[in-house]
Amino acid sequence: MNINSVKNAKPNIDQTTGTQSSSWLQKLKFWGTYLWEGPDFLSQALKLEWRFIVMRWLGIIIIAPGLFLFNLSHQQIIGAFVVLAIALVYNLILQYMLAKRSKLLISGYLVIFLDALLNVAMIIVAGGFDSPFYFIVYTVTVSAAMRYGYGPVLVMALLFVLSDVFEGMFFRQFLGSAFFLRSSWLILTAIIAGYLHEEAQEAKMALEEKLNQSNALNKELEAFSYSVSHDLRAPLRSIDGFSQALLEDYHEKLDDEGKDYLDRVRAASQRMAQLIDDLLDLSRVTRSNLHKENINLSDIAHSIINSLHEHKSNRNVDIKIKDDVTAFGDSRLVRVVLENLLSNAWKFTQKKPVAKIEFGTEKIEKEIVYFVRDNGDGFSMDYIDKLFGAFQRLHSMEEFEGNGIGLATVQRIIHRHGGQVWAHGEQGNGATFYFTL
Amino acid sequence: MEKKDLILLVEDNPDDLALTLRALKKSSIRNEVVVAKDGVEALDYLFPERNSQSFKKELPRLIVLDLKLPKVSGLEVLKRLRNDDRTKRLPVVILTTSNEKQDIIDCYDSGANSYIRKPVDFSKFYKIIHEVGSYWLSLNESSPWRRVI
Repeated sequence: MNINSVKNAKPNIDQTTGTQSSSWLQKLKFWGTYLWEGPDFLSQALKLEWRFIVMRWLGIIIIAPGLFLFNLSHQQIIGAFVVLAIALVYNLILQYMLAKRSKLLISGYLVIFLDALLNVAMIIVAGGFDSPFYFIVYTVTVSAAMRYGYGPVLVMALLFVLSDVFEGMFFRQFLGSAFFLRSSWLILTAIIAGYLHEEAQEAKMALEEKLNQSNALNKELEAFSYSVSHDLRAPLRSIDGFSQALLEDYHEKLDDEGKDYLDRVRAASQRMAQLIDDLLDLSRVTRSNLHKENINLSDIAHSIINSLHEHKSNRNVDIKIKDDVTAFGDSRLVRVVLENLLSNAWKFTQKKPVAKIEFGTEKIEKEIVYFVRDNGDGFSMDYIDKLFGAFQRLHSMEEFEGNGIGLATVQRIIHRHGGQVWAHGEQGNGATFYFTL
Repeated sequence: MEKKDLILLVEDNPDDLALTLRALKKSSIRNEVVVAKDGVEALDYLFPERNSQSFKKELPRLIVLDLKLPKVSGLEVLKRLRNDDRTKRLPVVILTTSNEKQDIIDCYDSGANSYIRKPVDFSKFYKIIHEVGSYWLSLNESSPWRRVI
């Protein structure tokens, strides 16, 4: 994934100037972007975390030399560097976790808390720290900045610095190392946190805007499909109804050819009605909410096969269904998937003397893959990219009936479950449909 | 001869209207049919006090109601019917093209007695009209209602 993101982010050097210095600049720019943006796959929240980590690096780099500006004892310097080393390791671990895409179990606030602990420990060792009060102030300040932005937090930080100055002026050496570390850390982190807050705010607003847009779009789609279901069907009813009226009321005046034409008109209008219904079902699949639960796919497959036997009997089909195949998904929608795949298998094996249909699982790269296999008419792999398109058909109506919506529906349902669907076939030699959930 | 009960048919599409009347005729339902071409006409008929030239009207025994109507929607008509003591128990059969889940839920929530989707196939439509007529006009015992408003 890292490699991918590098490839994506890398500007095309060859096509620009191509000189050594500019390619060096490009590289610098690339790493700068990478440090700021993090790997591509980070979510907005994790990106902010990533930036926090990068900022902490910056803080460590700025503060560490500061330790030498003051008269510190050897122990203090060693102690400070021990803490800095811990901070480095801690930072590295966090960054590694993010870069490796592993889920961060600790929430943002816990990170801040640990941060505060670390920084305060650093200051105690380096500068002689006197009150646990500082620790609380630090945590509260940074958390508040994450939540409310710069304004109130900077005031708070300044007040704290002022009190430090006041304390330093009257009670101890002014501008001591402790003061330097404390105030610079506090102001720096408050500014960073405030900045991150603004970023988060912007991201949130952008997200809200997107959500509003998609809601509006959804509403429009709903209105559209409503109108399709209502308005598009009405003329079809007239076509069918009045053709029927002609057939009944003008029976004597029509010859057989005329009646045949009217029958065709009626058949076509009914077929179009079916198409509209299927299209609506397809759009509903994408709109309805998912109710995921544990489901037994074997049971579902058995009941589908039984109903196929009931409705289209007189067929000799060799059915193999693996026992106790389970999955986590929306039972209604997964049933639609199996219905489509199994009835396809049923349909395309109708010309075989011995039809074979199998439902089972395979393990591919540690993942359970479900499959429906048949020895039917199959398809040529040349047309694989058309297989899952809506209204795409690979056979003529005379060969096999259907309207090309089944596999499109299957694909939508599988994608909504976050799974994948693919197929393998051979012309005249059966097909296998694989899916994951 | 005993006077037959009225059917109020609320339908805006003239083709659908002609086909419904044809189906009624073919299934030998001889009841008088009052036609309203939109929600306002339906409400004006049912609640004569709504228009100034009010005269006594006969309440129907059955209302066949389309959902998508000009001016006032079928659902709105249904809600108004259920809110009035004179009409709240009148059987209302929704006869519409929509099979959207939300429409079906809304209709039952608002007190529809039956919900039927118009099929494209006229032979099926004829059967439906026949069954609706025989069920609601003869088999079903309607709540007693004041015929004349």
